[in-house]
Amino acid sequence: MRSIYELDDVSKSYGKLVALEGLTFNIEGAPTAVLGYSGAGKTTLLRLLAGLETPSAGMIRFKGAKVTEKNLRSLRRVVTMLFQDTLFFNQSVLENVTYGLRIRGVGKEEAARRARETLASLRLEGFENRKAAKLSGGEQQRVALARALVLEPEVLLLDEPTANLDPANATVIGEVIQEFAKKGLVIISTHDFLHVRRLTKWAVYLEKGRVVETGETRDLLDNPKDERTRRFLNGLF
Amino acid sequence: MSMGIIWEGLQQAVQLIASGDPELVEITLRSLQVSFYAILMASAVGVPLGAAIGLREFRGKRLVKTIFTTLIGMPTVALGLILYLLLSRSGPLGFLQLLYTVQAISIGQALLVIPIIVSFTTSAVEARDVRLRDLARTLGASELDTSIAILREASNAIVVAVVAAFNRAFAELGIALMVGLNIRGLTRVLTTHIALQHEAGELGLSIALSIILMAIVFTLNGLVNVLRREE
Repeated sequence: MRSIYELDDVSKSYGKLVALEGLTFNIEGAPTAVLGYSGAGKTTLLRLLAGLETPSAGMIRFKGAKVTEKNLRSLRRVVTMLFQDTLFFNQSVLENVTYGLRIRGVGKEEAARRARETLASLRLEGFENRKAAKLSGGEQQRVALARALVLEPEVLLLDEPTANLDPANATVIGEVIQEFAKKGLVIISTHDFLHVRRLTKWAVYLEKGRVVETGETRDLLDNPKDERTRRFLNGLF
Repeated sequence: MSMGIIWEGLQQAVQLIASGDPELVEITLRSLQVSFYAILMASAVGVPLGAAIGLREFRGKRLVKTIFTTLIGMPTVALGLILYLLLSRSGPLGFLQLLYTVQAISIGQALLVIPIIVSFTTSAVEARDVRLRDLARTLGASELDTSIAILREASNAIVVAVVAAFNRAFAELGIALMVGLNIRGLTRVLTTHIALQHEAGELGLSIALSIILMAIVFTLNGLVNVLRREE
């Protein structure tokens, strides 16, 4: 199976701070979990995969093509990232959800129709005209997911999508992600092992910006090969 | 005694407004018009410039921002004097024959408030930049789409900047006096009229005119506050 992403000795630094160092692994079509303590480099990795930044060293290939400054935008047209802290334009839910479609040239009516459909799939009927920024945390996260899904991306990157959510909201989001994973690649960074087990098939464990272990999710969770992974899974420093 | 004068001024202000004194109406309308044109010019330059500074990263950006911030404190008489020297018959722009015209006052006020509009617009754009930029990008936006989205988000704050600039222009005296000369029926505006009445010992009338000036400024500030609340 051809890899969607290939990472070859990828590093990312911000000044003297090394966020990621020497990452080499492939991500194929299977839903993938990125695990690690806070500050391990998970968000930085997702940002690189999303095309929001480029590596300081090394190379990322997306579907065989090298990701460069020049083709970042075409990557971002098919890869969408959901941030840990949801952020909205100071507009209604509908305007937020249609934004990505409108800049792709989709007509207003068609964009609204598709947005309504996606909102409904996330049980957000009737929310169209409300200010997105004034919704509850769970509702905001669902709107943010709708805004990403309505674009029908090939890859969906999720940074802690269920952090601080009540079980009901987390369940809805989990179901929708599971549905998406049937047709696209999901890469999810989360501390919620229940979701990791349910939603992903492959996992990578990062520590201090380096890959400690990769493997099938069940194997990595149940029989970690590295002591550091074991300590992380057992909630130890 | 001073309370008596203020009271007298208040009464006179009410009388002047109620009577619709033609000269007062003319001066007030001229003041509004002069500052309105000044703001049009200043916004046409200041908003795009402030947005460009806020949206782009370039060498010397901090210095440019510092210069504009410093220029906010430019004394109006100093700017008026510079403009006077430029526009006077023997000055480099004397051929334009703008000295002692309302156009000269508008140009001076525009130059006075451009730094306000630039600095506030830059701050407004920068305050919204980083995360919104990522959001727009991850939804597939081009650099232009991203800039438009950020400017749209900052629009309320930019309007606040423009209104604050209008207040500054409308209430300034130095430029209007230096390049307008307070010519009755031609370049007399509220602030120069207040100064003239004060010099003539007409304190009551000065206070009445000041009250009208402040009422206009406060009304605009009220609008700004409503916008801020909405934001």
